[in-house]
Amino acid sequence: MNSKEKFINSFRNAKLHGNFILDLNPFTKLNCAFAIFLGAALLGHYWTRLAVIIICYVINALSGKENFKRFVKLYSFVAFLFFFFLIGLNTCFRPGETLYWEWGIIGITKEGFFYGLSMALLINEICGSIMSFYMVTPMKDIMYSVERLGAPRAASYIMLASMQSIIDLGKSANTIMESQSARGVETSGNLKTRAKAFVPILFPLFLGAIAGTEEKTVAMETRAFSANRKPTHMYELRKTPALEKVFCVFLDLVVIISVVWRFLP
Amino acid sequence: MNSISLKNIRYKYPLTDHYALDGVSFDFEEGKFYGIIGPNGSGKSTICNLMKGLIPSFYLGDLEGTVEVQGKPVDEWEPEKLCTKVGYIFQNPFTQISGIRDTVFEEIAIGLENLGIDKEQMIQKAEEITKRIGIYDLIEKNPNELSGGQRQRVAFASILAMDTDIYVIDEPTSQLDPDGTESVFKIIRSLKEQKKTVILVEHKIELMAKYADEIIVLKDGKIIKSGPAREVLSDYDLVNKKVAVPQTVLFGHEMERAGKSLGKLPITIDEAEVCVRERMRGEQL
Repeated sequence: MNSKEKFINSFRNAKLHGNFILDLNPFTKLNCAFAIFLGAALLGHYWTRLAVIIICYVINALSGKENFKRFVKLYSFVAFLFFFFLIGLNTCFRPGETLYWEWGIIGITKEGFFYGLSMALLINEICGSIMSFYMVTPMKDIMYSVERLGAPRAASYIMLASMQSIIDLGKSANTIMESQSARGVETSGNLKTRAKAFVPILFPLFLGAIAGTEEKTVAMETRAFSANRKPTHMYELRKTPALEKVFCVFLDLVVIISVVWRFLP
Repeated sequence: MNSISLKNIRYKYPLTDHYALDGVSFDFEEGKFYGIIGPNGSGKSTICNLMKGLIPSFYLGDLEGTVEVQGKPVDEWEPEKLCTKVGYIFQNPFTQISGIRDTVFEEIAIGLENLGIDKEQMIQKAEEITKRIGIYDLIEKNPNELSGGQRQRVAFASILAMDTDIYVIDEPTSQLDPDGTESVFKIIRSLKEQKKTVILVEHKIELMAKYADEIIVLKDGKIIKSGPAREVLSDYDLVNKKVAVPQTVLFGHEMERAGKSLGKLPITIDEAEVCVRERMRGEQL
């Protein structure tokens, strides 16, 4: 069997990515992401929030080298920004009883630092969980699962096509910029020069995208998009194993019990 | 039975006073290859949209007259049934790709998925079509990263997979290079060989002369001439009406005017070559 035959044959069975994390059902992953970040957020301890952030790194590392690299690159930057601004602003401007240093409206307080740290950890654990979910779950897996639940095909089409549209718009913008550059328009240099070259192309860029939408609708119509039949799927995910379901229930119970226990008088 | 019948069609787009089609009637017979030609704005694409049922369901406006597909008014067809009767391919290869599939193989199956076709049947159909059209090597590629010509072939494959009886094709090569044009015409040629009804709008008049059984000439929303390709394209009057005719026809007329008639008016390059050879041989004799 050659590679093409193998590729075609792969559609005969449920699609597996060959990685334990990636192969989990999208709803399992969504459930885990929500349970973990909600639990940590409600428990309110620094350590639980920090643990969630570490778990996010671990999950991405387990999902493959490429995924991990992308996650580290994206998330570390975002996390740093939140830590820097939230801790910085709260430490300098939030009033508190333990004042370390004061100058004008700036007053560095212990309470401000810990409040900022708590906020930064909370936001970063939420960001980390959501980002991890999207990193380890291909968009088409999400859409397939949502469709299987009974969501209209149009909804999943809009989601997937929107993602592709962003990529297409980027490509079109590059093409126009390159054409402009070939015509002698200065497209590189400082921010002002770049903006001067970029802003005028926005109008034709978006106009073109709108015109393309109409044609895309016609193209989809010719492929029976508005058919009143239940669609089938060439790409299918495996049925959720019982163990995954049990794990979800277990995790949810642990989180609920922990939160209830935390708030019990 | 006629594949498609247009009966006294008058249509104007919303917010316009001008009729894009004005009193058009024509019967497209089953298994024939029709070419529609005419200057820009003559109503060629509007006819295509009518035959696919996009007018008036998608493009609103004032429509008079009836369009029948296999004897049944187009608005009485259920969308999914009509999709299995009339396939539509248009000019822009970039907007015909759905943008929601990662591989060409899955892209081709979208129509079949929407029709609720069984998975195994879909796989077999998509495999067969990709082999037939010569895009088997592309099946694993991302359709969003293909060239214009390759995308147009994928668009054809997606429609061919739905196995329609009638193919309405609107300027499929207008944005393609010569290689892309050739590969698209190879597909169109195969449709003709399968005796499918093909209605092709195309500016490349030489290719129309080569393949079309009948030609319809549109101007200002009216059919100004129709009939067998040779009869229509030999009419020099079309040139005065600013309708393109093959270069070989112009050549034949020029030769006649110069008193060196080729015997008959060649409508294709192959015919012109034969005519010129015979004439040269005749002169030598």
